[in-house]
Formats: sequence, structure tokens, C-alpha cells
Amino acid sequence: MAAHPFLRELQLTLKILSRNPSAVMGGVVIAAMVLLAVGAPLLAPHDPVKLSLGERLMAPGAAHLFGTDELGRDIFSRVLFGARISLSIGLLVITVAGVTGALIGATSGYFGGKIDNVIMRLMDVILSFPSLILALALAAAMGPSLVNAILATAFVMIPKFARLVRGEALVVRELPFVAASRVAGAGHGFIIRRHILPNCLNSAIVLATLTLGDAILIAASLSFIGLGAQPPTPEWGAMIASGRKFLMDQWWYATFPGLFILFTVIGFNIFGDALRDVLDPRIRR
Amino acid sequence: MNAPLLDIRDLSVSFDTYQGRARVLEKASLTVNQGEIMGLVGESGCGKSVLSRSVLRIIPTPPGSIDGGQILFEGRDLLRLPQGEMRRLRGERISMIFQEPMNSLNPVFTVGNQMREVVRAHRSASRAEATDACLEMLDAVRLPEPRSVLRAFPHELSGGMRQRVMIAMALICNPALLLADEPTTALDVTVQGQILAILAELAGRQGLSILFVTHDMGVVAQLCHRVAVMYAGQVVEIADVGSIFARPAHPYTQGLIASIPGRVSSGELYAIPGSVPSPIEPPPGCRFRPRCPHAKGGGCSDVAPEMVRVAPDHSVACHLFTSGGLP
Repeated sequence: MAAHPFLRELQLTLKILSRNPSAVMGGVVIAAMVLLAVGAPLLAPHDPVKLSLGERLMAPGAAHLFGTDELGRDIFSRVLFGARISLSIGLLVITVAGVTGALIGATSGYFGGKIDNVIMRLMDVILSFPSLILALALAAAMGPSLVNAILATAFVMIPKFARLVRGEALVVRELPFVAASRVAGAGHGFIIRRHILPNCLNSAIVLATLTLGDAILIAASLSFIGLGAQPPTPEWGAMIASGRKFLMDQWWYATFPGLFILFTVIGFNIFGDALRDVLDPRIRR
Repeated sequence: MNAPLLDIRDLSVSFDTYQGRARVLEKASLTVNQGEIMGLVGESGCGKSVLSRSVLRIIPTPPGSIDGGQILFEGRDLLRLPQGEMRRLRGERISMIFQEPMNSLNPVFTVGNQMREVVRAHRSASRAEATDACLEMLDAVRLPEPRSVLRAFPHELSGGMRQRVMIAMALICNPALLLADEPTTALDVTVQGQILAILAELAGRQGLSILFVTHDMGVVAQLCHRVAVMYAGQVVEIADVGSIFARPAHPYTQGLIASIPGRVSSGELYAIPGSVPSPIEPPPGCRFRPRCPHAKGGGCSDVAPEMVRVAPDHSVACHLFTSGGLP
């Protein structure tokens, strides 16, 4: 037992992950996206927002890898910078939704009874709308901007986390170590923070990875209909929206951002699936 | 003699169920003296665990409710204590260990992490001081290599080790009373013996009182000073451990003793006929009457027997001993 116990567990997780082919595949895609996003200023050959009207709608080639849009901007550069935006949107949405949802769910499940009933019915109300439609309505009501799109997307994702964590909390709160903690003098807040939430973390992480793709997709959809990122921000959904008009003649305009959305979403989904298997304690050792 | 450390008087607890109100404890009384190990025996479902959990008020309410009685601890009625003060008592003056050592530790944190937490929740101590206290306590429960135990996750320890960690955690704040709810039931016999020896030693050394819940008469004989026998939610007999085995007074206790394997050498093992009555509709009068070999009509089926003293440290609730015999 040389290393710190938490490092040991982390090492074990990584070791198991590396033996799982779909985890490796998803991980590679995600890592590639993250690298492209982080390295965008270095990798991008052009300024993503610089207009160059002389080079409008050029086909993919040596000068412009993915071609140019109707204002002569380099699509490859825009897609790279778009990765920054989309990934940070996804992470922000998941963080906001995950933390809020987990807190709501843990509180609800731990206390049970009336509190649980009231909270869960509220969550049901949110769930009863299709998430995209509700996000759309919220974003429209708050006014078109990237921040509002993020908040709207996060809001519709809260119930997913709340329900999942509540279910786990219902199980965890009956476990003897919670009773043991209570007889040692722990209060409700302490038990939720130290016992309920950490034991729900595994499934919450899996859900977060799985829904990250969805979050990116919803945010892109909001941008697509003009409620999210505003021009000239190089957001993938917004790029598809403006490229749509040219799809018949200049296929590259909408296709490349679309492909990036596709890869990112698939990458996160595959990785999330694999992560679910790996974090399952029954097959862990 | 001084006032007892723990004095449970006429405690009644019931639970709401779909079939009706289950009266799980009915006017149960017992005392635990300073430095004494009190055994609490009875078959499954007789209310032993509910009794011990009521002391710390960790009965889930609803569906449970404490309907009456007093639980006097160091002269204060725990049932009337405000939540905040009750919380301060838990872990500091009264601790509890449970049957399931497998799940009694949070699987996602190291043992040290959880033990230090208990120390620091009850007194201001630096991390290093807390660690020292943990090491000392782990040593007291005779865990080898306490340092590596502190760094281990619960799943890396065996059941016996985990129960020892639980005992160490329960005793780390020097409580006056330890409630032990079948702490050795899930362990094998050798480990059980070690745990009992540790408990006996700590009780003797620290002046700790233990309320030891079990259904194992062998454990009682080995560990306890006095014994309370419960049947169907009532305490039916209390005596020092010698008297219980030598002169059991209540027919139920006699049955329990007779059914210990190996005590009677002749052939088949004795079993008390019948089964425990439903707590929802207990039989009127004496609750043991339907299974009692000495039961008579009249008194036994009409009047619930009161506790009577048959010897200086021996009380029993049975009409065979009530003054003037049966009506």
C-alpha cells in the first residue's frame, strides 16, 4: 500500500478502462476534441471571424481545408474554435445540472415522505415536456444569448440527475453506515454530504458523460434556430443553420460542423456506456 | 447501590403497518448499571433491536412511534431531550454497533477518513491528533498494523476486522454506554470469540456499560453479568447470569435454556412449541400463554402478569410467581 488510497483506485479505474475497446475509442474521440479545442489558436490556420469577401464559398482545398463560408471565413478554423464553445457549453450545462440535480435528488431521497413527494412531482412537471421543446421555450422567454441557452439546457437536464440520485439515495440511506453515522452524532446535512452524495457519484458521473452529448446537441439546436450563440460566434449549431441555405451547392459549409457534432456526441455516448460498465462494482474486481 | 446508568421504564413502541398497529414493545423495563454488561435475549422479532434503537431515538418515525415510558440515562429522560442535545449524546456518551459489519462503513472513504471524522465531530483536534487517537483505539481492539488499516478502504478488510473498526469508532469518544445489536451474529465463531474478549476487556478497563443484544445464550453466558429475557415485546425475566442458567423462572426462559444444543444429552433437540404471536393482535393476558406448558385458564388468559421479585437480583413476569398464585 504505497500510494495514496484514492490514487490506487484511480489507477485501477484507468487500467480497467484501457482494457475496454469502446472506452478507448470514445476516450480517443473525446481526447481529440479536447486537444483541438484547447489548441485551436495554434492549430487554426486563419482567424475564425476574419472576413475575406474575395474568398467566398470556396470548396475544400489546400488553402482552406474545409472550404470557406459565404463571408469568406475559413470553416476549418471556425470548426476548431467551435469545439471550444461546444465543449465548454456541454461541461457548463452538465456541471450546473449535475450539481443542482444531485443536491435536489439526494435531499429528496434522504428525507423521503412529503418532501420527496413535493420535489419529485415538481421534477415530473419538468419531465412531462420534451426537453428540447422546454429548453426552446425557456431560451425564447429569456431572450436569445449563449448564457441563456446554457441555463435553459441545464434546467431541463436537472430532473434526470435528480431522479437518478434520488433512487440511489433511497437505497443508500437504508444502509447500516448511515445509521452508524447517526448514532455517532451526525446531522442530516453531514450525512447527505458525506454519505449519500459520494455513494451516488458513480451513477451521476456515468449519466453526466452520457448526457454531455445530449447537452451539446440541445445547445447546438438552440443555436441552430437562433436562440443560442449569436453571430459571429463560431458555434457548430449556428454554422449549420447558416450553411443550410447553401447545402445544395456548397455541401461543405454545413457538413463539417455537423460531422463534428456527430463525432463529439457519439464519442461521449460510447465513453459513457463503457464507463457505466467499468464503474460497476460487481465487475470491478 | 447507585442509580443505574440506563433505566428504561415501561417503554412502549408501536409501528404502523398495513395490517394494523403493531405493538412491538409493551411496557418493557430494564436497567443497566455502571460498568455492567447487560444481555438482552429473545427470539427474532421480540423487540430487542427496537428497544436498543429506541435508546438512541433512531426508530424511523413514521411509521414507528414511541407511545409511552421513560428512558433515563444519567438521570435525564432521553425521550424528552431536544434534538440537538440528543445528537450531542450520540457517539459521545452513548454509542452503538450493529450486526452488519459489511455495510457499517461507507465504502467510498478510507477507514482513517471516517474514523478521524468521528473524533473531530466531537472534539476539536488537529488531523494528527485525530490520527493518533484512531491508532490508539485500533490498537486497543487489537487490530494488527493500525496504520495500514487507516489507509485501507472497507472492502479491503475482513468482516472481523471491520467489526473491530466499528467497535473502535464507537468507543473512540469514551462513551459511558455501548449498545451492541448482535455485533457477532454475522461473524464466524473464532472471530466472535475474539470480539467478545475485546468487549469484555474494554468494559472492564474503561468502566464501560454495554447493553448486549443477542439471541445466542452461549454468548450471554460468556460475556454478560445480568440478562433480560424478552418475549413478544415484553421483558419477562431479569436476573444475574448465574441464576438465569441455574434457576430459570419463566417458562419461556426455561424453554430457551432447554433448547441450547448439548445441554441435555438425550437425543432430539428441544424446541419451544408454537410460534411468536403477532404483535398486531397479541393474545390477551400473558403473551406466552398459548405456548406455555404450565398455562392454566382464568388468570393466565385474562390478566397480564406483573414483574415480581423472586430473589434479590431476579425478577420475573409470570402468574406462577404472582402473590397468592393463580386466582
